Amino acid sequence: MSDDSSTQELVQQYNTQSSTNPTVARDNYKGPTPRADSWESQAHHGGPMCYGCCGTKCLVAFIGIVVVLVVCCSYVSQDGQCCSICYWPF
Amino acid sequence: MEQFITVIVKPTLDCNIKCRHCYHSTGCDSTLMDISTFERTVKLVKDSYRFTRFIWHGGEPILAPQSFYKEAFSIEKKYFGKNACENTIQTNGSLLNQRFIEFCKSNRVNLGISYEGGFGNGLRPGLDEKYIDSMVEYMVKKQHMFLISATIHGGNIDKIDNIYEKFTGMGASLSLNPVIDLGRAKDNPDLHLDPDMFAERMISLFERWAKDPNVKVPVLPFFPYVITAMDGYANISDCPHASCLTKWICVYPNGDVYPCGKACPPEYRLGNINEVSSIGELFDSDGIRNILIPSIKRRDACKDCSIYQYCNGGCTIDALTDGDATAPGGASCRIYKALFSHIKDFVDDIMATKPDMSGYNGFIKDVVLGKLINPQIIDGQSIQ
Repeated sequence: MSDDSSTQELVQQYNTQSSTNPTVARDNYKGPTPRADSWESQAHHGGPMCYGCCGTKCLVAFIGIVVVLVVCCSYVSQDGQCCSICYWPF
Repeated sequence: MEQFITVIVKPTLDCNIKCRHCYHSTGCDSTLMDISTFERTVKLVKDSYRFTRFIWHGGEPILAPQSFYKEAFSIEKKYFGKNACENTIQTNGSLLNQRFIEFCKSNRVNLGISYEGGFGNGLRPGLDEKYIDSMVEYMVKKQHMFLISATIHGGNIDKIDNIYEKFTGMGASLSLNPVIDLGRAKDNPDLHLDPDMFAERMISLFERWAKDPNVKVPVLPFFPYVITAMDGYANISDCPHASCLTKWICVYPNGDVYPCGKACPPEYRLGNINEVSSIGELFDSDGIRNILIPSIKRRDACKDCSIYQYCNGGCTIDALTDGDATAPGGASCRIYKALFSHIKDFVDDIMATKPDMSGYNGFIKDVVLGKLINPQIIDGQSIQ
């Protein structure tokens, strides 16, 4: 090498001096492969205090809870203490 | 089309802590990178590479608001799709909160926290260590991806075992790094670290880590060095020994590009990302010539060394910091040679004697088992 070598010649010489494993380090590198459908791969889309797990799942869970409450409340036992279906003490 | 490049992004050079060993001197520009500069970077990288890894550095990168990162990750997905980019944010941890941590997890961002666990001995003035501890505990509890990066210097070398015990005890992955006499560290001679003492303490700690079957975390650089010793080549994640020139770039807030994140001198500047039409143009610049020429000369001087194939002559910025970018044998060279040679002998001995592995940690066991089951997996020479 001389200081007059072209930049591409310098790059080539540097690469020749490099003994990193070409089959692993360069040619066969595969990018990260997380579970494509994992919630960890999703961008944050909830509101304040909501994290990546929120969104559709939260909405479904919320609707489910409301439905359970409405159904249970409509079956509160006559003594007003427990739901006659689930015996939850409303 | 090339396969892969690592891009260090410095969204700002500003910092709220001003660590005494920072690569960057005080009085740095405090402006925040314009998001269009980042988009330009991503576009040019996408034009030439299939995959990339972004390392967010600074300054303190979390001085940029969460909305900046939300936009930045959207840009990555726009150009590369969902799964082609890795991201790591290297922070001092003082501005972390649970919401940002969860945001990072939801975007698969690895967090690196520069922290000595209360054993920094004045390295990071004003740091609320109890707060950082609470954030680290939260991440351990929630099984987040993160790495503690502890700097060892002249004032805390005698606490290296305490640092090791604290983080391995709580299950936090740990990296132990010697202070580099760059930037502000040069102005604080009390931080100066004796390289031979550091190597000696690290060898002792390696023995302790390797022979502890109960340890649950990898410790860097021990683990990558074990892989390098077994593989026969430098690990691409081991940046000082990975032949990084033309494989890594660092983009500053104003778009200036350097070959490395360690505060390179101005003559190594490759150009400005907003003024070039391709990444290849950066690698055809006077800046790349100015760092390639001393690197090649140093490697020529190194090539007869017994461990050259594993270190490739080391890091040019480290050599420059040690006094001469064309000459081997500086502090970083002495540390690597002592520690890696010990680990290489350790690994060679295991492979030769095939001892009962129950007395070794799980990481060593996995590497040895992998090698014995299928040598081609990690022996590059055998498949060329």
